[in-house]
Amino acid sequence: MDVEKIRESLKKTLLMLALILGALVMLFPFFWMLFVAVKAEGHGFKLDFVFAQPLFKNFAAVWNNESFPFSKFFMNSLIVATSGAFMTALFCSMGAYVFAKKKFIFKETLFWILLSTLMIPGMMYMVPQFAIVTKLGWINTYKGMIIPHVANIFGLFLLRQHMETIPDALISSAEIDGASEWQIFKNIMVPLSMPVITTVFLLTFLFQWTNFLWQLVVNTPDSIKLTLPVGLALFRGQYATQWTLLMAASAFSIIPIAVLFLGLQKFFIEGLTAGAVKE
Amino acid sequence: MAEVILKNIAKIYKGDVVGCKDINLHIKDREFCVLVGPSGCGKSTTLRLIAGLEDITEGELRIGDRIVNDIPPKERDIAMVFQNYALYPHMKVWDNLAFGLKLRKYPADEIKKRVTEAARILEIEHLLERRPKALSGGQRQRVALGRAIVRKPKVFLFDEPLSNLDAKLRVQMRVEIKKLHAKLQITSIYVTHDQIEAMTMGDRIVVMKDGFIQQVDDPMKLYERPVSKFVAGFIGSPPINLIKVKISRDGEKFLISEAAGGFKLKYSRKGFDFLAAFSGKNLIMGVRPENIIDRIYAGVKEAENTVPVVVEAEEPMGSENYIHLKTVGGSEIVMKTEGSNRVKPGDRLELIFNAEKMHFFHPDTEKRINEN
Repeated sequence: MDVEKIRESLKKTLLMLALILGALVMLFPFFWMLFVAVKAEGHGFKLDFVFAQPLFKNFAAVWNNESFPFSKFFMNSLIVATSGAFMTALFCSMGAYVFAKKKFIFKETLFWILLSTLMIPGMMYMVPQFAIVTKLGWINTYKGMIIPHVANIFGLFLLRQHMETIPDALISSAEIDGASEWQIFKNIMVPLSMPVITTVFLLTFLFQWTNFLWQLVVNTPDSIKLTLPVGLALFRGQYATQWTLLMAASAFSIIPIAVLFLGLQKFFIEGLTAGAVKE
Repeated sequence: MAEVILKNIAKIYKGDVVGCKDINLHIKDREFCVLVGPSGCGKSTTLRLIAGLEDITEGELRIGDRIVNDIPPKERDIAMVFQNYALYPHMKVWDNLAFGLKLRKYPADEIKKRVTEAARILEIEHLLERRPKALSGGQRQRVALGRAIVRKPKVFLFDEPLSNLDAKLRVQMRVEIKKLHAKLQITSIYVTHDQIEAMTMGDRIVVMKDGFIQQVDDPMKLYERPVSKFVAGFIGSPPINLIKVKISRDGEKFLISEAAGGFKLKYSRKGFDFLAAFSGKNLIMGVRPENIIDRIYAGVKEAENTVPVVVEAEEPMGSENYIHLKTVGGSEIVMKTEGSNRVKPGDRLELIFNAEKMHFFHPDTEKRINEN
């Protein structure tokens, strides 16, 4: 009996140790980034404890840098990621509602064609998309940065799978209650799909926030619409040795993602596992 | 308050699949009309056509004084209660009830008045702040009913509203819906596959099969004069006994003998005249379980027309007893008798059929033959 107990608790301890180790490995880069970001200039990669005076001097320096307006980059990123994620979530929801609940000719075929585009690597689109954006005169604009990525097949797929599980009777019932098509969408489908919509919103936000290549392509280096990842890259080019500043800038870039994840974690986890088990 | 009139209504799906066809019905104002039949008989389809949830392929549908074929559901002035309640899970009970009124832009005080009134009628006032998830099946069904009555529609449509409830609650809600109908006096169309629900609730019953109407009648007529073998078998519990018999003449009398060889019943022509045309032919005879008596238990000394049977099993219900029997020819018969009439498997009994309550059906068309 006692042997059993000891073995059991030993098992638990080992498991916890493994988990802690995993967590440490995951957290270490973040810790290191923050550690370097608060160190004194020139001490970035030295194993010492010489900190900047005042402690957040590097952050202030980055935020108020004249040649690299990080606050501007930050706002650009926020605008692009938020509006992009919002539009994607909206259009995916509307499309998913139609694919999940409406009858029309070639519906399944069309859906499979859309799905099959997921197999094409994103890079393949870049040249034609760039050509279109140039033709439209959208270089160095928010439009050019956002619109090409608004149609998100994965989000459409995720939402359709979810919306198919919403009983038809609810829609019929709303129809008899007097709801128009838009009201059914707004009052029934959207609230009932909120966890999945949140997931799509978050994933798109994350994608847009960290999107480097496309924003580099549609912006000229002197553009005032540069986003953080592009800005950071240019910054690195110029301040390659000033690790403390670079890390402070990087730290800025993860703030919104961290806030969003912590705030919407509940929805997000729910969304990823939605429909996995029958309730 | 409105009549609902269906004229030659049909719903044909892709690939000529018949949803329902030749539906002619005149549902009177304030009537409680029940559509009943086995699954796939077209009863729900018919209801959805009336609701406007599906397009009518052929025919004309009238609600009140309007032809509503091309009018969307929300303008038909109807309310529907669904089998799975179809409550909006993200809204509180109050909002579920008020949803339709809000969409129709009723003033706030009118909404409040109506929701409160409906909640009072259905005794769900204490549940208004809850979400559907926190309600029991019966409570959910009440909310679904409430959502229908707040709108004060011309017609109520019920699509198997009780089939998700447990047996006891079903009986209770059955009565409540009837009371509600008596109070509100709104034309109601009720779909069910349960013949007991149909019999107990309907002012009139429409029996359907394979997309067609079989019979429209009030419950007792339906029970006493089923127009076909199907209706006879569908209505009544335990179901009617259907036995293959051969008809022949014996002088002034008719001889009804079990087709597989077994019992022989002899009746004078009076009341059995219709059998004249079938002399020498086979028919299907229907006898309801309660129209059979056990000669010895009933204390009848001697009887002319008895059917010897062997007991196979019994189902004592307390107040009554269903006895399963087998004739010499192998036909299976159920007899409904008093609870005190107990038997054992293997017992031999002599049955007497009530000659006035016999039904005869044509073996091919399965239509009723006798007039009465």
